[in-house]
Amino acid sequence: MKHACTVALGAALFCLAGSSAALAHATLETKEAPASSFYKAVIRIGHGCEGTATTSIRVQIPEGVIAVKPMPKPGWELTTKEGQYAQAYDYYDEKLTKGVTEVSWTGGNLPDAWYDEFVFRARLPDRPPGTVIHFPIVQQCEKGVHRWIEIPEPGKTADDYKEPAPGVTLTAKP
Amino acid sequence: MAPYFPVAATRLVAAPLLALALCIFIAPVVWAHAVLLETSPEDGVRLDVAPREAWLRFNEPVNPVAVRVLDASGETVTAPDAMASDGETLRLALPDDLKEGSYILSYRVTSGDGHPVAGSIVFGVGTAAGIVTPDLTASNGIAIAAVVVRALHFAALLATAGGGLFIILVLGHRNPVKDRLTAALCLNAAVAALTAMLGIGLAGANLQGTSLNSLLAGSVWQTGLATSVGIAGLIALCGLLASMMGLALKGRAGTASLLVGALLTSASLATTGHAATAPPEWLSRPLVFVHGLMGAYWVGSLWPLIVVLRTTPTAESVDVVRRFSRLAVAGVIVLVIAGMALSFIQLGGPGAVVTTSYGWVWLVKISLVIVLLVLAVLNRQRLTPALAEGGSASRRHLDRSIRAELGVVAGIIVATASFGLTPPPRALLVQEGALESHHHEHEPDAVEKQEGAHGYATIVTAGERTAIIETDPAHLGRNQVKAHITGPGGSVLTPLEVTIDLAHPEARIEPISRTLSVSAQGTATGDVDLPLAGHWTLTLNVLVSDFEKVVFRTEFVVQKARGP
Repeated sequence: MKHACTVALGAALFCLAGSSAALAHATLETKEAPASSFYKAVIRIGHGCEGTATTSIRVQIPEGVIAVKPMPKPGWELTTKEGQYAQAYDYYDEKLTKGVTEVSWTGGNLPDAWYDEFVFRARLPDRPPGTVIHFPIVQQCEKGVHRWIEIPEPGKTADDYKEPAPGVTLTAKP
Repeated sequence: MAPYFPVAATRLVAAPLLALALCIFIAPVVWAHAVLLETSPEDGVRLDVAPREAWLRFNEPVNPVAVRVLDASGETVTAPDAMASDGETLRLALPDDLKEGSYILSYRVTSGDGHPVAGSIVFGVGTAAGIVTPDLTASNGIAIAAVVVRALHFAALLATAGGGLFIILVLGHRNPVKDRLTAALCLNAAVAALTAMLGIGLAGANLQGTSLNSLLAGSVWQTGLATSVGIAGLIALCGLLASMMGLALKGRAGTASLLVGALLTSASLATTGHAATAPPEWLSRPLVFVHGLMGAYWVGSLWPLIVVLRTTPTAESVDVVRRFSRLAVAGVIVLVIAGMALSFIQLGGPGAVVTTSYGWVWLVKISLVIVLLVLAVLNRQRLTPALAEGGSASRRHLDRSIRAELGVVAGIIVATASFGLTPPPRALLVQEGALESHHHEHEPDAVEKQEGAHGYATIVTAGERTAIIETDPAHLGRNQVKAHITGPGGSVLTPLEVTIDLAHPEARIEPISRTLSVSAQGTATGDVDLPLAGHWTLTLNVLVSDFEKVVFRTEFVVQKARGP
């Protein structure tokens, strides 16, 4: 059992180590998911702006991502904005033509020294494997704002940008 | 871990130790992207005293990759080991002898998470940041050297050409005095040739904006040869050669050669310079030619006249002086008329005389010309008849008077050479207020080129959106960047926020960032100080909505603008 604990602890720590490089930006915890699947988007906020606390997080839901349900967070006011989808999507027995296009957690206070996650659930679009779905995020702080909205141009990756939008890469439908 | 421990102990101790070790290992990496909090000197500041040290303070310890300070010519002024890391602050020792001018502090560091943080700040010592009169001491040195060389050139050129004209028109070829003059005239021709060549090098150095040391290199000479100064120098050399041949040959060949020499040297004066290139050129060039030719006759005859007075008997010398005088009257009238016409073209009107530096130089020249005319009238009306009446005293008086004329002529030539330092008022009118230097070395049609060469404008598209980006005036120093963005179908876009990043890939400095202010009509404007000439890349970041940013990229060239 102790052996298993060690292994588990080590594995967990290694997972943290592997992902720590990206903790500087606003990122998504799960970076790959199958197309058309239900995806739990965990937005990780590792720091504030210019050393000050984060006060609001706003996410724009890109076209094709439907059935969005955000997770409420104590101390934060959760609001969503609805809009028309560009086309009708099949969702179980329904055809969805409109839904949540923007999710906002506002009025909170996340000090720069602390870390928090903002979660929502959504269904990813049916697109070819390898397609990256980007979620532009605006992080408002006491002093300043971070706009994680840069979408890499063809031929470039998120590493080439100062404030890239976090994304999830679609894999093949199961 | 250690294989020496007993296995059971390993499992008890190892796990927490492993966890602890990994935590310590990982913990620094969990820090965020470093942010630059404060710099000294501040971005865009003007300092009165050169600082000893520059520092950059971040919100966390960083690893410096490349931190250096460059001057306005792109040279790095800090030593490679001048950087010291002091926790969250990077300190850069600056050299003790920082001269006045603009400097760029370019930094590239990596934060704990490995991401690079880079940028540039500009600051000025003794001048506003980015406002540069590039290496003022060097350009002043070049300008002064150019005036001196040009004055010597004019003097020697006119003396040679005029001496030839004197021999043809006044002395006659068979006159033995000619032999006495030959040595002096050949010396003059040599000086004129040397100064012509030196003037070409100085023209190149002036255009390149380098110091006098650059004359030792080859490139300034090539640059100079390509200008009108180079062409003028070549024509002058041909004329001087013809004059020298004319002195050696006898009879009609000699006369012809001397005449050709005089004409060619006057032509060389009409090839370059403010006066010759003033529009309308069909008028100004012949005027300069005629002005130069008549001036040559007058200037070039003074020394021969002194020689004649010294060596020939009185009767003959009176004859010579009278002959000279007769032709000189006509020559002076033409000289003055041509000079007035040129003055009018250059000054545009009497008002410019006292308001511009060109006008002041002109005033000095005209005052000296009036003094010279008075002396000439004195010679003609009083001293020459006195000479005819005889007496060595009168010969001495005339001799001294002509020497005085020589002195005044020297002053006039220096004033004429100094015109090249200041822009003539007509050029100021063309420039619409933006004062740009207008040097002697311009190509003949430079004025036409300048009317359009004001700034840089381009149209860039990104997706469905178009940006019209203007940089004015695309010269060293303060530039204004204006951007106008339109959406699909030409609809005007009013962005939320616009920032620009300017980078100079050749100088390898990190981008300078500026935020532009957006007007109600959707135009974004802002000022940026560009302290280096050359190729700059401009990245225009337009925040179209809260969640969308459009990036436009373009390049432009910043030219050196030399101060007067």
